[in-house]
Amino acid sequence: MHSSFHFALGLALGTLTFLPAILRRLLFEQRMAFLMRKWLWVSYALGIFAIIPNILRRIGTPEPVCTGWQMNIFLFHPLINNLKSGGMLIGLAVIIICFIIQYSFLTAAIALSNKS
Amino acid sequence: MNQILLGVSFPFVAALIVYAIRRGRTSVRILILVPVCMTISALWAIAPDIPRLLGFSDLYNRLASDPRCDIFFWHYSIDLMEINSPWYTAGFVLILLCLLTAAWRELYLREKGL
Repeated sequence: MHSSFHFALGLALGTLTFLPAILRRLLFEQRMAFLMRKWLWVSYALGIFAIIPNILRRIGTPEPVCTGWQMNIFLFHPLINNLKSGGMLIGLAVIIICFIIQYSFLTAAIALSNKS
Repeated sequence: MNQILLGVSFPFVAALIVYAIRRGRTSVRILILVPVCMTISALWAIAPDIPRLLGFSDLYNRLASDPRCDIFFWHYSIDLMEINSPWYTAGFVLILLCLLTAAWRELYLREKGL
């Protein structure tokens, strides 16, 4: 699978994990900045975590290490690679969707802070 | 991917200049306007590829061999020398991160009362 797909997987996992807490805060019009910051950090960190095998491959790590079963700790990287090839467009689409979700909540929080 | 990156770059750089002029402050209106402009710009950049996505192969092949498609942000010329690289996606993600950071910073400053 393309590295975009793996990155998107990590990003989506981080985005969805925090979503209920973000929604709760937004509905009760509580301060959002610190939780939002954590949300962004965690989701993009997970995205980078998911592509560590790709990074290792690029810096010259031997292929058996990059595709070994132990690399499944990076969000099932080799397992997903064995399922299907490609995935760049899907990855890009998921990255854009996650961005839209996070950006929409940020903009909504700013608009709400305007009101209060 | 490089054409999408090129497409979003123009409104992004313009927004960056406006952001710097406004000393790192923005408004909800601008926060909405910038991604909309980036989307329109990206669609313009990949316009000759849209027929292929919709299944119109003949039209796509005609456009792919027409140098006049350079009006779509040098689409024809880029296609001639295009190389695939994960750095284009990385650049695109970096631009999205910049937008998120600017939006987050605005939220943080407003909640602080500034």
